[in-house]
Amino acid sequence: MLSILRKARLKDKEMRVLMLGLDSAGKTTIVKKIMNEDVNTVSPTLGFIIKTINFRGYKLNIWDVGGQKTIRSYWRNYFEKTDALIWVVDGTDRLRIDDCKAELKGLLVEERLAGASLLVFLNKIDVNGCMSVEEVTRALELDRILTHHWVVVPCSAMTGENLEKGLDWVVQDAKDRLFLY
Amino acid sequence: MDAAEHDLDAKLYKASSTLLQELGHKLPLLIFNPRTTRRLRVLDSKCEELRLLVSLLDRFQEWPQLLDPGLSTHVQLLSEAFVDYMTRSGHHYSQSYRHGTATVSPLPRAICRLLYSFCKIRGQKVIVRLLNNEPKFLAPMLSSFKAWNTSSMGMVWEERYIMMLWLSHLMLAPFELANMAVSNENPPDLRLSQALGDLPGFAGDITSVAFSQLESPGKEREAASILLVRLCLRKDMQAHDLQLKLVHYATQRLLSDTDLVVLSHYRALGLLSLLYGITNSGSDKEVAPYLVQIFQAVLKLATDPGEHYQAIRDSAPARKLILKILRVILTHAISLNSSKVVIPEAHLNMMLEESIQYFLDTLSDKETPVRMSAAKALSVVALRLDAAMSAEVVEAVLSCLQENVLLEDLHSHNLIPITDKIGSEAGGMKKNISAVDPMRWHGLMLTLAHLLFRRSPPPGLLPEIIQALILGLEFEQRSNVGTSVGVGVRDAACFGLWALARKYSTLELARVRVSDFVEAKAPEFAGCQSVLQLIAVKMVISGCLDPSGNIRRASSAALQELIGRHPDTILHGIALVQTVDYHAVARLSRAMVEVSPQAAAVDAMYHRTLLSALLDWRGARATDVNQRRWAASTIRILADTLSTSETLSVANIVLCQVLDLKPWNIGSTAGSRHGLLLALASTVESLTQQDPLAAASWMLEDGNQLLQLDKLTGKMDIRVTADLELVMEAISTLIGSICKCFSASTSDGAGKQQAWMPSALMLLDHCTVAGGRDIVVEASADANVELFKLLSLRSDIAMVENWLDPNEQSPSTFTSKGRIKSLSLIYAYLAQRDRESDLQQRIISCIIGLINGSYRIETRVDAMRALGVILRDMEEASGSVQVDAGSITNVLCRGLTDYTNDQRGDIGSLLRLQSLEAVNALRSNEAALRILDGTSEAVMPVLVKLAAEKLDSVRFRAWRCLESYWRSQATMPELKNTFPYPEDVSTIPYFQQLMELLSLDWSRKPLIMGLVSSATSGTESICRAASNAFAWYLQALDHGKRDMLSAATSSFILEQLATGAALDDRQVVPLLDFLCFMMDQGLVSFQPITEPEDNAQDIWTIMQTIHGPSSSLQRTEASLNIYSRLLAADSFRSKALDKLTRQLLHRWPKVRNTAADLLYLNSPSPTLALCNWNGPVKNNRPVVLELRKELGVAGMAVAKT
Repeated sequence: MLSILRKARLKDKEMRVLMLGLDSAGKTTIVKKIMNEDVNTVSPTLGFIIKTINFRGYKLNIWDVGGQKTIRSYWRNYFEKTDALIWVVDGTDRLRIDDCKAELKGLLVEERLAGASLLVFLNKIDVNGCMSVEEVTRALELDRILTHHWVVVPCSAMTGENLEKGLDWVVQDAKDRLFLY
Repeated sequence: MDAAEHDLDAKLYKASSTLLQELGHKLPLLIFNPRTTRRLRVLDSKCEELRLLVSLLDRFQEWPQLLDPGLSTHVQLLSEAFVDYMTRSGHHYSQSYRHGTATVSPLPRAICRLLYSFCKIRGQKVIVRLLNNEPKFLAPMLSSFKAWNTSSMGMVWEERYIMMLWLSHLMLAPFELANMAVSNENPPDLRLSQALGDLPGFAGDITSVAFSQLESPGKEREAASILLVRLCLRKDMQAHDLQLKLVHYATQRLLSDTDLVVLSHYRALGLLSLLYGITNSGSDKEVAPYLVQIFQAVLKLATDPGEHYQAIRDSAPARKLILKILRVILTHAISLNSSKVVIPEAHLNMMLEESIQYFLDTLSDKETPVRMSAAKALSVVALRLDAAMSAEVVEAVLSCLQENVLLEDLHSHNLIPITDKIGSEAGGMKKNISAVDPMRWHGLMLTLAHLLFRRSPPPGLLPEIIQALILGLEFEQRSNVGTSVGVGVRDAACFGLWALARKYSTLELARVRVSDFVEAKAPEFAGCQSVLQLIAVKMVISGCLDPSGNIRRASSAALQELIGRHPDTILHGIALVQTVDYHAVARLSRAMVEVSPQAAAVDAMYHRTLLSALLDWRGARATDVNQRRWAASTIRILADTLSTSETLSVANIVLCQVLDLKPWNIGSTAGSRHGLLLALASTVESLTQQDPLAAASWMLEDGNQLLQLDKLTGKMDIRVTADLELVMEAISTLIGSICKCFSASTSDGAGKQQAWMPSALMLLDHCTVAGGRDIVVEASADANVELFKLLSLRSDIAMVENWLDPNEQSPSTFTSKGRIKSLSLIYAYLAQRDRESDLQQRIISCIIGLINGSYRIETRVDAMRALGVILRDMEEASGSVQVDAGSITNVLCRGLTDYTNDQRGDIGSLLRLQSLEAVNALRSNEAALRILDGTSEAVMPVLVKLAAEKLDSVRFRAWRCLESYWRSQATMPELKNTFPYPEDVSTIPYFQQLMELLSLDWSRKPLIMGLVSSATSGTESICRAASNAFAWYLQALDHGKRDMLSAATSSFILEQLATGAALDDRQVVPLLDFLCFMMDQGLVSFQPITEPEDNAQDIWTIMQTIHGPSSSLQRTEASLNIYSRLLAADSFRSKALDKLTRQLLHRWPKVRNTAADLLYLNSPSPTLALCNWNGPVKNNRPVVLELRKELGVAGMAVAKT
């Protein structure tokens, strides 16, 4: 049973992407924007939502896990494991950047997420006073991460700027590392 | 049943980076020697080492892509080396040959083996792409293959496989094969060339080579078929109609070559896989000309009853290939006809009908891969069909699922075919799937899942599909040996529900009316508003309770998908996802006892449904006995949060179900009864906790059959089997719970309660006496105590006094495990209340009597265990209980020194272990220590002996006990180390620690006794550890102390020998051996012994009593050893020489030989070496006499042996 699914996943070029970050970082808005849905009606996500995005021939199953205390339950399941992590940072929220760092750090030590690439979306660059890429890299101590491939992409969920670039990186990273059919 | 706690793949991922590094380092070393020239040959062992490395990654089936980062480098390295060898040193190729212990193989063999390993992990498609594809290698590759593939070259199958694959890769060369040079030496197969006609240049060569491989049984068959497919799809070959010719040739042979399968199944397989490959890879247009022809041929193979066709169909891979060929034919046919009619409509429909029928039939194939192919074929074909026909396929699958499904009356358990009932009446009935074929259901479920995964069923059919999936999720049958069948069906159903959640929108699923579902009508599903909610509930149940770990995990994954894809439709979805989590459900006990209460706490709906599921086959009626027990504990937890009236109704339901069981306590009935009675006990306990009065009045209600125990138990007067013991365990637990309830409530129905007691007493007594398993004993003893509490003052004492009187009952009853355990528990209860001191005392003396008596060792162990309980619970009584410390000390010592031996070996060790537990219990109870003043100290010497004895388990336990004493005593020497693990007590440091006790007077002798046993008769490692520790310890001491201690030791051993000379060998021989060891170490001085004023007996005198002509072989040998050591002491030399030479004439050859050896060591005379000591004694007599003269002991008379 599992082998059938794995084969199907490889064939369909499916990837499971976990979308994480502190609350109100804009995770759901990003998903909605990519799906071309209305981004003006987003209210805080209570739970989690799975959406499939067809992107450059790949099927990205995005698991949007909104502001929950424990996300251990989502790391992997019987049918799938996580291929990529998207960590969304609210670029205007300097107050909680330390929280953000701690959360991310805690996440990356988890060995069940080993092997997943990490995309950090620096969101809300359309807002004045947003942090720069360098600032976030420093604040989150990203340079210390050796266990995962990572990149920071500044973006705006409202305008849609750079969102595709980020996903491109996710797909490209997978392509570079793995031979997909 | 339980999934591994740790994620294997996560661990392997961590390890993989070093493995990959190692691989990257070693691979070049294999191919090049240090001077960077390529090797010609390699050692097989080196190659194996690398393969081992690669296959370590192979375990990683979850994650073959791990290899990818280094894969292209590795494969290119290998491929370049191969090509280089092929072009420059191909003539070196030869068989592997042995060189000493190592085997040496030519380089290509090693390379191909490694490449094959890579293929196995990563799939050949990926690997082949990385091979060298320059067309110039095509000719050398082919000629090398032909040259090497002879019997004298010892080519192995991996080489053929890789080279075939490589050739297929080279087939991509863009220019015409006709232009390439041909060197045709061996004539091609006649039949083949006839069929295929003249092929230009190279192609003929390749086909003949490939066809020869196509019939082989190994992996190379697959590669050959890939090669042929590549070849015939080439542009230039299409001009020759090679494709058509090959198909024609293959079908002809399959259909009419009757020799085909007689010789080997693999021939047919090769041809079939060739057909599949060609049809699968060809475009619609390419395939069109022969589509109908091949269809008819394959259908004939699939269905014709002829013997030849059946023989082909006998192999499962062949059936699988037939399915795959039909599948691709149909997809080609459908897409061909979609643009313009190529195949006549009627013809196409016939093709579809025939093959879909075949697919449906094959869904029940006994081989899983075949069923999987059939399911996939159905779903793939359905996807291509127009909506109406695709719906028909789905309906056909659904109607197959209706076959043989019966309805079951919930009370009478009568089964009725569905057709007899009208839909509305069926509400009170349950679907029963005991008559369906699990294989078929697996196939059907898989098909549904595949269909859903491709989203082919129209949303209108969803209600039936969901119904079927839910039934599949709960599929279980019992095989005729009682095991559970149907994991595959449930797995497929999980997959189906997962796909359903993923592929259909919330809106589509919301249109399915939940009221159509039978399940939704059940009271526990009240409030289930949508079908999504219904599915979620079912998922929660199987996530928490399914006996198979994979199903629990699959359910939890499907639940996640369901909740994530349809936000805000499931009640408290997020909380559920976090509770029923991949990791949490891995272990069944945890999933049941921890996760399900958490899930139940989320909402009342989950609570109700879980509770009712716990009474079914995943709970109280489970196959696994532990699952039933866990179900009972879970029910207890869940019931606690219910209101009293709800709990009462649960109790009533369970009670009804118990009463509905058939009376025979065998097999699954006994199992169900066990589970249900335990569940009943759990609910009663929960009721008692909530409202004892209500509980009692419910039990005493008129018409409540709970108290009619004989109705609950079924037939009990049968031989005691494992099944019956389960019932005993459960009914004892239930009686205990009922008693607790009565005790907790001062109810007014005393009359009825009193009337119930005798029956309970009798039944419980039966269980107590007849039950042998620990769990039955435990349950019945606990129940006995509860019942005892409930009895009126006089009758309780009468009951126990009756138990204590051996004359009142048969010996087996008197000494039964359950009785002994009950007595100890009742003692504990009385002691706590400070009641009936007289009775307490009588219980103690009865138990002591049992330990001291000549009962079976098991009984005595049971009694010792009971004594342990008594010691643990002994209370500082108000002076009324007189406990005789002396008798307890005696009985403990007796237990600790029990060395009963029978054909099972040292079974006294069981009693010793149990006695150690009792000592432990005593030491942990302050009150008992005060009452039994001095007992603890009195048993310590014995403990010291046990801490040094040879049996590992006893030694460890004794040490734990001794250690705690050691720590509590300030006078003891310092503890240097702790030895917390059983293996620690077999080490030298451990024994060295013990040696500290040698200097204490009270512990010296027992220590020596223990040491003697472990140093001489334990296992090799113990012997070594003990004797080394002893020797080292003494040598490290200063002179005076060493002399003192060794003298004390040796005189103690002699003393033991003197007093125990008549004892059996088991004690004497170790003592002798140990003495011998001490002499060898120079730790025995004879000076004080020979002094007349010393009271210690002379060693010689002692030896005379120990060793006589009639001594056993072991004792004689041990004694001989002592004599030989005495040769060194002047005062004994002549006597010992005399003794030893006499033994040269002993009646046993073994003794004669030993004596000769020992003498030779001392005085190497050639006579000793040359004489045949195995010969008859009388032949040797003159030799011995001569020898004695030589040695100067001739004066004494030779014994007349």
